[in-house]
Amino acid sequence: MTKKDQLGNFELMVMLTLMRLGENAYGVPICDELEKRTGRDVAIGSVYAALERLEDKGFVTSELGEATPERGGRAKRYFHVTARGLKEVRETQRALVKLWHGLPELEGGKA
Amino acid sequence: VNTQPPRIANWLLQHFGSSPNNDAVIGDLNERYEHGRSRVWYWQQVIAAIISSAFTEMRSDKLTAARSVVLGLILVHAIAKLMFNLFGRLLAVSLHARFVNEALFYEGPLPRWVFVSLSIFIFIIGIWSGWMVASFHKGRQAMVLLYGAATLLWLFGFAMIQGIENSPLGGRGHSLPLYCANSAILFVGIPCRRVLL
Repeated sequence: MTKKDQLGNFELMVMLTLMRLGENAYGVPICDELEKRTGRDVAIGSVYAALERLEDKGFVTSELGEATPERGGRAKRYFHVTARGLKEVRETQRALVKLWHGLPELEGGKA
Repeated sequence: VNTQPPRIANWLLQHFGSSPNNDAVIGDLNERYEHGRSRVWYWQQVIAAIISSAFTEMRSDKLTAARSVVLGLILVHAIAKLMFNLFGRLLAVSLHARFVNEALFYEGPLPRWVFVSLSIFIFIIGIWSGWMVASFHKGRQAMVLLYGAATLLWLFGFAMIQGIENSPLGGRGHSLPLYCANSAILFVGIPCRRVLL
């Protein structure tokens, strides 16, 4: 696997959010969920930039949804994690857990 | 209370956003704005969306990005040289000077029409070069944005290194606004072209 196919930090967060949201994963809930879970403001543009990179890597697919008046008549774009994406998230998780394990600074949840 | 999202910000994103999902981005922004976000938030999101989509596009095709800057600078140099030559001749005739350079670096007070017509020339050069770069990179606003940013840097760099007073008509307080106007008009070139096409 090349470096380009690996998940970045923000990309991983977006992937986990997509998995959490399931079928309702479009821009607004993705941003809301990311903000709720991380406690930080996120820019919609950055989320879409990450989603487009993930789509290029084959980790995510997308489809157009319905348009609503509150969106100015613009359609939603729903994103779904692919099998390849899921595999990559699992591999990243495994690698991170290995790195995490046995670090006294991170044991017990104290800074 | 105005519940409509800021029109100018919306227009900017519509014309300068280079994400393939630009429409969905605008829709999401409108939806979140409807849910109570502020106008300042909307503007911040629009600026961030334009910048991040431009960077994504440039990173995905660095060669085309470099080509757009080189092409734009060559075009703007060529047309500027030609137009300043013509402008200089007009100025020379008007001031009864023998040479173009003599007229451009004329020490005496210059009539107002000189500044007005020079501004118009620069605006035309800006529009034309922006238009040309956009035509060579159809549907890829990021390349024109990059060219605009490069020109802006180049113009300010030139003014900083050479000194504003060493540029034509310098030292009279008119150069900097002209440089700014030139750069600004580059950014106008893209939407104009999209509207007319």
